[in-house]
Amino acid sequence: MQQDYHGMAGDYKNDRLLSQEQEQEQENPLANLEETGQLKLPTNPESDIHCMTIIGQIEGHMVLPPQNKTTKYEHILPQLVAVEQNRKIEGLLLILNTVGGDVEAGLAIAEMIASMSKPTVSLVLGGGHSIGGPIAVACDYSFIAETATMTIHPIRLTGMVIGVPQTYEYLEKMQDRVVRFVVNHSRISVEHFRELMFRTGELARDIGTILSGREAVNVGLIDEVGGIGAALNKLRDLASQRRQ
Amino acid sequence: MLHTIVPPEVVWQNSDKIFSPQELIYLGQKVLAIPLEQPGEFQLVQLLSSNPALFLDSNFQPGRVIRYPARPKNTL
Repeated sequence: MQQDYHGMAGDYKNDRLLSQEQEQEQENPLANLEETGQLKLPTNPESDIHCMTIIGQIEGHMVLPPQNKTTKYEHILPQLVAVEQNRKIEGLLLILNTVGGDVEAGLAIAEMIASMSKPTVSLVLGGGHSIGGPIAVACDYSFIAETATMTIHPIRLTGMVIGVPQTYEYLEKMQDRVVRFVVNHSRISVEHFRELMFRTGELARDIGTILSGREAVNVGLIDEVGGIGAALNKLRDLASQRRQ
Repeated sequence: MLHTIVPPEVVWQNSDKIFSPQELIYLGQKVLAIPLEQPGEFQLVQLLSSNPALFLDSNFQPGRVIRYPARPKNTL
């Protein structure tokens, strides 16, 4: 009984501390730096573009161990709903530097972006590998930095013996979904994409292809080589076309 | 199923260090967070809300470290 009382008193005190802390945080922007390693930059109230970053592993059905840097799809999906619904936001800029991740989570994000009515532009910096590919091409227009790379390789359960033909067929179907999505949302053909996917001699541990910035544009996967300036300009253009 | 260039043994190392998150009410919203070593510090894992606008609020971004009285649901 006494313990209960102490517990509640403690909580009450901490609640009050919490609200004081929040007040301090509002007064002192450095308080935020201490916690997250990021400074809250003064936001431009007139910014009509929402920027979303897809970094590290795309985390889906399974929680990944703590050394992985992840983008959680259960957070990205409602954000996309908010962007689509919010009248003040006119366009979405997607910045990718991802090593891939969960197939279904990646496809879910890609499908959400592809079906948005607002203009979307993607920019691949560093890497847009594996399941990052469909997300990059899902936008209305895609950019890739000159030094960025994209890896195209087959989906498989590494190290697992495929025991029954059904497992192989399941993987094949999963892969077909990815291939179909990429082909439908970029200029690359099915044959060419599959050829890149099963090419031998390029990757040390796998079959497949690594495309650098300009190569990704040449094969028709990405629309243009460029950086943040070009991407923002394109997004503004698309937004003004939509307004008219 | 993972489709990634990172080898599975690298992705899955330290998989014994995954903690199950607990439910907290933070800034009036229900969130899932995992306790950190420092008492009263939590790392936000997920926001449980059906209001899409809240997901754009930087206070609720996953990975954010929050201070909170340690008050697991079942001890109250």
